[in-house]
Amino acid sequence: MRLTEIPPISRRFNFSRRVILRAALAALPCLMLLAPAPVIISAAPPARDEKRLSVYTQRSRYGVDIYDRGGQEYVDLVNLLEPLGPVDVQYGGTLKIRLGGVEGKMKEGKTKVKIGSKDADLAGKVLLENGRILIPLRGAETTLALYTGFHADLHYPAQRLFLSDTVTRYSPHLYTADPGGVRLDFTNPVNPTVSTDGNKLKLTFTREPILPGTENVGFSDKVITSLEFKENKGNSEITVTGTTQLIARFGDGGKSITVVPAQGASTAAPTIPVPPAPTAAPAAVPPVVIPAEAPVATPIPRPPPAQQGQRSLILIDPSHGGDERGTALTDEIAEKDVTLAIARRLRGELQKRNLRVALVRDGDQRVGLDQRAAMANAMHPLLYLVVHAGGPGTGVRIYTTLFNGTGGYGSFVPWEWAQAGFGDRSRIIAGSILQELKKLQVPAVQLSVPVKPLNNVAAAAVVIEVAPPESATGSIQNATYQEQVAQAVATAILNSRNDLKDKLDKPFVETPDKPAGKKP
Amino acid sequence: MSAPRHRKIYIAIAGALVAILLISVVLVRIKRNAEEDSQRAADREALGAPVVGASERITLTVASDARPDFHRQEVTVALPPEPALRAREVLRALIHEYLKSDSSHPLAKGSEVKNVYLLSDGTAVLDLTSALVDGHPSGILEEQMTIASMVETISANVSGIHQVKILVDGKERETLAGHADLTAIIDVADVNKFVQELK
Repeated sequence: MRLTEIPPISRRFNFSRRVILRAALAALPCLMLLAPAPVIISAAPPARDEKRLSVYTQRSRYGVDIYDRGGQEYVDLVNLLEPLGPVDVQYGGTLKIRLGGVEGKMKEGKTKVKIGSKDADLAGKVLLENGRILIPLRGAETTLALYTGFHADLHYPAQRLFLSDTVTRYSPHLYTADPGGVRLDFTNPVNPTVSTDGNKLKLTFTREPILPGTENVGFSDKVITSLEFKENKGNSEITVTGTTQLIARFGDGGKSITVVPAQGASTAAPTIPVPPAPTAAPAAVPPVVIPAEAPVATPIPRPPPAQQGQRSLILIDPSHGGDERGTALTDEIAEKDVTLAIARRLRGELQKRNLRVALVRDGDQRVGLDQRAAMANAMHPLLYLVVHAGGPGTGVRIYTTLFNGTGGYGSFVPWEWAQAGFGDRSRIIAGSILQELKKLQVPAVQLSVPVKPLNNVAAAAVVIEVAPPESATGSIQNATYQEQVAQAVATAILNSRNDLKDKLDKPFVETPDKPAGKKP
Repeated sequence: MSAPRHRKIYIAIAGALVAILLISVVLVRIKRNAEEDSQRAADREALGAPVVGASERITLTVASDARPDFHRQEVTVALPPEPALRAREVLRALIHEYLKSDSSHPLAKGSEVKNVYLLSDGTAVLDLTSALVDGHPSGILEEQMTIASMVETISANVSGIHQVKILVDGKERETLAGHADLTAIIDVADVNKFVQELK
């Protein structure tokens, strides 16, 4: 067939030109809407697996990432155990994982494990991935129970695990008298997030191990019609449904929440009173002016508040976290994991010495530099100690600020110079840490550098950067080495605590001798 | 609805999908090309105009990750008489050492000093390329060593510099690679002290 003999497309398919025109016109808006999609998709960051297991213990709640492997859900065993105490891992044909005095033995690809003196079936194979030991999520319950000796209860679909009967239960009490409502009595204080949607009021508990004392309830009441409990994705929710808009009032130190009709609900949005946050005691330091962007909306851990007149808290800050991984120490080891492991060991050592300790983060979450400084300033610690990890070289580097001052600025301290009045105190601690490390034959050096966020902290503040004990970078995970460093730092803090307290008793009368690190 | 009419709709939809696919491919390629052009332009900008001046022997303070510490190294470079350009060339000579394959303190490809501005109060403002900062190894000591070697080198070879401020692509950055504070003005005396402490 010659080219000239090809009939027009409209004739071949029996289309009229009007039909083609209409189809083209109809397709055009679709094209315009969809055309930028690939560019947007190519620019978007890769989606993260958001599944996390919430573990509730008597002392705390922590989260552990859940991984999908071959259609089964897994958790990292070390991440699961580390918040409970120092974990020592020995790799080999048989993996040996020790928590406290209990040693677990397992083999890659096997479902049977031995923890302490007991055998257990993890309901799936143990996996070894880049040095990480993954166990099936369904086996986490048995594993924790055998390691800790406590009862463990896994709510598998909800990704919640309760250790040692650590639950907060509630019971509802309906008010029939005008204006009506329902009171929820909790066995422990709670602080949920409150939201409303029409006539529904939702209490979301992200930290508390809430379980229902009473299952879902329907009421034949003129105000409250039902109360529903739901747990999902590591959190729990109580939804109260009414015939009108509802608000929540907190009472009894957070142990009771009363849900009542909102006054003028039809016209005004309900205002939800929240329990007053415990305020930090005014210590002998001037308040710090925090930049407006410092306390951003990202949820950060809430450490215990400083007690009145008791500036004795040691605040440990494991640097990095979440998607901010810090230095890639090896292909598998990220700085954020090592800093957290060292911080937890240090917490244990300080607690053994009867010192009050809090961690800025006790899980794998991102906390901004200004947020860390703001947290330290709000808690008025005796010492703010930042833990970093990484090369080059070996041993431990101890950093303090460049500020040399010993005084303050009066009523307010500029954010950039908050450390100005604490340079000497910081160096006392740093010197003490240096001495203790050298006693243990750990190579160490003390340096003065401008490191974020030290300059923004109004307290004695020191950074330790832990490099590997030898040239092999992976040796930074050596449990004995980490423990050695933690012991030295804890002893140093204990030894210099009284010197710091003496200095705190002196009034702030001087001005910094040199505003090093000043803003341009 | 008749069969031919169905066929028309199917063809129209198929045509639209093919068009979307083609446009997508074209847009993605345009985006990639734009990114590459931008990088090439940044690299070209970083190189700057060649300078003319007499060859001089200068001393660089070079960081070494192995110990870690610093060592002095003498090199011969062409230096213009104008102080700001001279300062820039001195730092470029230093960064040239860090970009060598056997560098003792390697920096990322594309690392460069775009410009140096000297203020009357003895402050040198260094404008670095984003490639230097974005590709810099993360770590307190590694970051401080880079800064210290630049400050030591520039202050030793250009008279009258007492302070240094670092910018990246003409803007202030919070940190070099997550640790070293770039918001502060760096005092040359503090850096001298740091270098001595590390010995």
